[in-house]
This record gives sequence, C-alpha cells and structure tokens, in this order.
Amino acid sequence: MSRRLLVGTFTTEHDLLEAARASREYGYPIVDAYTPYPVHGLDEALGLKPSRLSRVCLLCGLIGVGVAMAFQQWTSAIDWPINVGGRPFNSWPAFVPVAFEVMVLLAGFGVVFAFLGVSRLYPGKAADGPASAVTDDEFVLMIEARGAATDTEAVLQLFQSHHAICTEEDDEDETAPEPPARNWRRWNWVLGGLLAVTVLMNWTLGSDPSRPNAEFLPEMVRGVAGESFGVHAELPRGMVMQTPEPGVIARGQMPLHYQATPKDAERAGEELTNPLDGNDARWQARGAAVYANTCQVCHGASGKGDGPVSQRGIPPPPSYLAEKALKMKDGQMFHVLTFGQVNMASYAAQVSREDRWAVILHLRKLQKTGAAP
Amino acid sequence: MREQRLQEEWDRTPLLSRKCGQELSPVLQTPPRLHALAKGMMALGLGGVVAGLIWAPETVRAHWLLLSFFGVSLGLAGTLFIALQFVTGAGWSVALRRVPEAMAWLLPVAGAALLAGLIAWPEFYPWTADDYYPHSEWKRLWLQRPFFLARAAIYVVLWSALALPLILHSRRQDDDANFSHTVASRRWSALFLIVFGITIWLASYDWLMSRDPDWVSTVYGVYNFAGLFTAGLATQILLVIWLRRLGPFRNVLTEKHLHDLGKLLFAMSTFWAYLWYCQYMLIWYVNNPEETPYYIQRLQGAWQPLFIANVVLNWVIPFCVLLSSAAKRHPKVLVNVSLVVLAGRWLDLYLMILPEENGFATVVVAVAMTLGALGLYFVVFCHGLAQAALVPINDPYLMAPPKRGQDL
Repeated sequence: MSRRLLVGTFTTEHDLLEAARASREYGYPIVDAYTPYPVHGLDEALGLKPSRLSRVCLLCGLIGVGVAMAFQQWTSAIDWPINVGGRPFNSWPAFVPVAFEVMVLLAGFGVVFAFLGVSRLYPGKAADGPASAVTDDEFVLMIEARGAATDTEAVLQLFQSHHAICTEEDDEDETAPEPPARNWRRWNWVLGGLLAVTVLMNWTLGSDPSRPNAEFLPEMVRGVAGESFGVHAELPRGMVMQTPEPGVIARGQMPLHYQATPKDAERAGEELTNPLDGNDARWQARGAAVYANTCQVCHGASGKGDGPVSQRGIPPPPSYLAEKALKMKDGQMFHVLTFGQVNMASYAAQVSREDRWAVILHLRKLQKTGAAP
Repeated sequence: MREQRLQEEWDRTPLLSRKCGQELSPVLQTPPRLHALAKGMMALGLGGVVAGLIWAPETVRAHWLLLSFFGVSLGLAGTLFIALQFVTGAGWSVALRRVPEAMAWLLPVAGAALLAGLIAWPEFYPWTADDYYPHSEWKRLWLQRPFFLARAAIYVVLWSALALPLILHSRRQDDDANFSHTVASRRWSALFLIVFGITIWLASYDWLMSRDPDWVSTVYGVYNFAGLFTAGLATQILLVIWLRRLGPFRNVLTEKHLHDLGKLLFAMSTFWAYLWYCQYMLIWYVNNPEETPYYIQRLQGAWQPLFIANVVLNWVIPFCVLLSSAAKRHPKVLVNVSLVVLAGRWLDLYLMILPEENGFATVVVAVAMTLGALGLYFVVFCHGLAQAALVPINDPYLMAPPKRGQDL
C-alpha cells in the first residue's frame, strides 16, 4: 500500500511547533516530526498520547528492588548466615544500597530496551528518516495527503507560511522491500558479536580443567597481606606465623607449675582454691551440665562410680562418697582433672579451666546430697 | 549590536510579556485580612518569646535558632534557585523569578535574627563551657567564640551581598530592557554558587553540628543543602499557586511551570532521602562510639516516632504522591505536598537541634514562636513581591530563549 507524504522542512523548532499546531487545527493527519534534538512541547503539538514507558520503568524498578531485597535476605539470613559485627542476619539497612543499584540497573535497561522494542530500533538498522539534515540542524514535519489534507496545495501553503525552507511531495511504497545494498550492515554486528563471544570463550575456558581459568582482579584472590600459614621471605624463619616472644602468656592461659605426680597433686591441694562462687546458680548449672556431658558415663549420676561404662566391664572408679574423695581438697581435684590419676586420663583438652572448677562445685554438691541419708 | 538584536526580537515577536505588563498590577496588593492575620501571628510570636524568656528560656533559644535558620535557608534556597536558572540559561522559570527574589529578602531579616541569637546565648553551644576540651587542636582553634561569631557574620553578609545584585539587575532590566543585566546576573550567579557551596557546608557545621561538638558527619553540609533546597522549592510552589489564586499569576503560571517545579521538588526530596540514608547507614554500619550516640539518642523514647516521621514527611509522602506526572501538574496536590515537605523540614531541623536539650520543649511557646516566624516570613515575602512588577517583563528569556550560537 502506498501513501502520499507532504514534507515540510524548517530551520527553527519554533516554526516546527507552530506548523504542527496549525496542522492539527486544520485536522491534517500528521505522520511524524523529525528533529535533531528533543524539542520541548513537541509531543503536545503533535497530539501524541503520554508515553507509557514510565510504567515500564516503574515496573522494572519495583522488580529490581524486590528481587534484590529478597535475594540478599536469602543469602544473608537463610542460606549462609554470617555474623557481621553482631547485627541481625536480616539487617535491611545493609541491603538497601545493593537494592537501589539493582533497581536503577533494571529500570534503566528495561526502559531502554522497551523503547528500542517499541520503536523497532536495533543496531545496524538502515536509517529511514526523511533527510540526513534532520540529524544536524533541520526540522521536518510529515503529513499524509488524505482526509483534510487531500488538498495538497493548502498543506504546502501552510508550510510556506511557517517559513519552511523546503516543501515537497513524496510517494512512499510501504510494501517495497528495503534496499538490499544496506542489508549486510546488520550482519556485521551479528558476526562481530559471535567472534567476540568465541574469542572470550577461548580465553576464559582453559584447556586444563584442573587449573583455574583466567583470573579477573587477582588482587582480590591473592591479597597483599600474608596468609596465616603461608611463607614470607622477609619474616624470620621464612614463615608468616611467628612464635610468641619468651614469657608471653595467652589470655586466660596462666601456666600451672605442676607435674603429673601424686606429690604435686597434694601441693596443688594446698595452694589452689576454687575461684568460683559456690552459691552462684549459674556456676552450679554449668558444673552440672559439664558433669552430665563428660563425667557421668563413668562416675554415674550420683557420683558413686556406677556409670553405664563401668556396668559393661570397665573397672569402676572410686565413689565420691568414699573417705578419700570427701577429704580431697578442691586444688587436688583440679590437679586430677587436669593431669589424670590412675585409670582416669587428663581432661585438660576437653574441659576448660573454668569448667573444671565448675565441675568441682557440682562434685561437692553431690557429696553433700549423697552423704546426708 | 546586542541591544539592537534584542530590540529586533522585541519588535518581531508579539511578546506575552507586554500583555502581562499591561494586565498585571505593577505591585502586589496583599489582601488586608491576610496582612492583618500575619501581623497578629507576629504579635503572638513576640508574646511567645517574651513569655518564654521568663518561664522557658531554653525553649526560646532552641526555637529561635531553629526558626531563624529555617528563614535563612529559605532565603538561600530562593537565591540559589535564581542563580541556578541564570547559570544554566533556563528560560522556563523567568516568568516566576520575582517569587524566589522575594524569598531572598529573608536573608538579611532572618540572618540578623540568627546572629542576634548566636550573640545572646553563648551557652547554647556546649563547647563554650570552660570545662569542655575538644578531641583535636584543630577543633579547639575552630570553635573559638570570636572566630565563630565572625564567621557567622561573614556568611550572612556574603549571602545577602551576593543576592542583592541579582535582584537589582532584575529590577533595572524592567526599566531599560538592557541585555547587559542578564550577562551581569549570570556572573554574579556563578560567584554566588561557588560561595554558597562552601559557606553552607561550614555554616551548618557551625550552627547545627557544633550543638554536639564531639559528633562528626562529613555529609552534614550536603544533607543540609538538600533539605534547604527542598523546603525552598515547596515555599516557592506555595507562593506561585497563591499568586495565581489571588490573580496576578492567572495568565502567567501554566501547568508546565507547575510540572517543572513539581519535578524539581520530587527530585530534591529524593536527593534528601539519599543523603539521609548515606549518613544513617554509614554510622549504623561502622558503629563507631563517637558517631553512633547521635542516632541512639534520636531513636529512643518519644524521639523515635519523630525520627520515623522525619523520613515519611520529607521523602515517603512526596515520593509516592508525586510519582505520577498528573500529580505534579495538579495545584491542590502540589500545595498539600509542599505543606508536608515544609513540616518535614521543620521536623528535620528540630531533630538536629533539640535532642541536645534532653527533652521536649514547652509546646505553647514553641507553637507561638513558629506561628510568629511564619507571619514574619510571610510579611517579608509580600514586601519583597510588592516592590516590583510580578513578572520580569523585559527579560529576553521570557518569550524566546536566545538562539544557538548567539553570543551572550
């Protein structure tokens, strides 16, 4: 189907706007206007409906915020919770910057691609403007010669009265195929893109599957700071990890100057006292818990040496209610727990120093309740 | 040459401005009832100050600082708006320029009130106490009272002195239609923008942030600038719509003007929220004991709902309401949103200044003073508007912006 087009060319946006307004007043069917830059108020002069792209933008933005917030919630609070400075896992203030960026990204790309799709624009498309000067300094108004504009003379007259520098009539045949001479240009983009993808794949997918591929930003993987167990040429002994200075004591690790001998056990009984408050319910509870977890299997719930292990053939330990245990001092018990005695091994590795003292509190309680009846 | 070209343009185009010049009354006639109401509010405010000085002096000094800074920031916002329009060569806002010009008159008035307050109540700032020792030597030098007062005077004088030529050139152009005024205004505007960018940052540090001298936020100045411009746009929208309802702007103010002002309000409100969040999020995240108490104080007890209301008034409501373009063009919607934004700006300043007083100010005195300031500022606006034609009739940008390539 072919149509006749009347084309007016103007030199100022003002003339174009006035001509468009006048054409609308006379009811001429405007095909389109072509300008080198966006002209303020042209959409109204042409009688265009408000763009619906803003709704696409809003929708994409909402999707961006929603997806980014949900994803961060999932990674930070559900799939792999990480304690950051004691904050709750689902700390949304930390999620907002990323959600904001994803919103901008989706809204921006969404609206651009929607615009390209609606206007059927794509890379390499042949230009279909009226004249190349509309990309420089000329303004073109196109009117179709039908309806009120069938009288082409009147339309051209209107163009003239708005200082048109050029008016022409044009026959456009819409069914005519695009000139084949220009068609190959778009393939440049497709082939170029395929080539780029191939090169990129060849580079990133190495031939040796046992080695990592190309590293982007290797500084992120191999930091300038030394790895704890790594080597370092400039440090003493060539290692990152250094031995402490002589005499340095780690926090909470005051050394015990005792040997694993009965003599030192007695000395410990004289020298050490329980630092914990026996009336503190928290330490009592802690002692009971540690006793139940560690000691009860052999010594039994009541401390009589009737735990499940000794009922299965292992020699039972002496009862806490026996004379020896009742007379044993706290410090000596601590020595036994720390260094072991006869069949009992050292529990220093399993039970912390504090917990050992807490267990002794529990033992004293067992002795009291067991001896009473 | 230029004048000749301008004259030719003037003759060739049927200028709207000429029509406006005839239709408009040359000066604004404020309705007498409104004027009386404003004066009544001023009297009420004065009574509030006097009563407050007797019974609640702490309330008076806090609100004095809040309201006078509010006025100064409205004046700055008006000048900033004019300067931005000149520097960017904008033509759309020329017809409304007398409104920001009237707002600029607040600079000397509210500035003088602010200076008086700073001089009268040194104890308002904790760093004036004898037993206060700042963390750094630099801070000790900066927070010296004579230096502090001198700086404050310099800020106010500089701002007023740079706003004056903008107003005077605009007035003179009404008489002689000379293009040189536009050129001169553009230069003054550029100078003002540079001076403003530095001084507003320092001024908000001095006057507001030093209420808590151990607390530091480097984004504070920009944050204040965002709030200041948002409130200024809201005031401008209220005034232009009022002028249209009153009559003088009936043929001048179009939907497009409202749309553009609405877009600016929308954008600046979001900019404010962006900076609010930058400040909050970084302090929350770093959790530095020197910074966090500022927010802890404002997030506890009765301050918490106010803290949340601040974000709602300044951003959530304007953002949601002004999202559609129809709302930005609707005068009633714009008026309501502008009122919300102004209340939000007041609350924002309240939260910046008041919590250091450890309690709510006496409500009656506060309300009386706020009403008084409103009345005073309204009278200043009317005074500013009444001094010249309400449309700068001979501005070359009024009808047709100069063409591309035209040498300005």
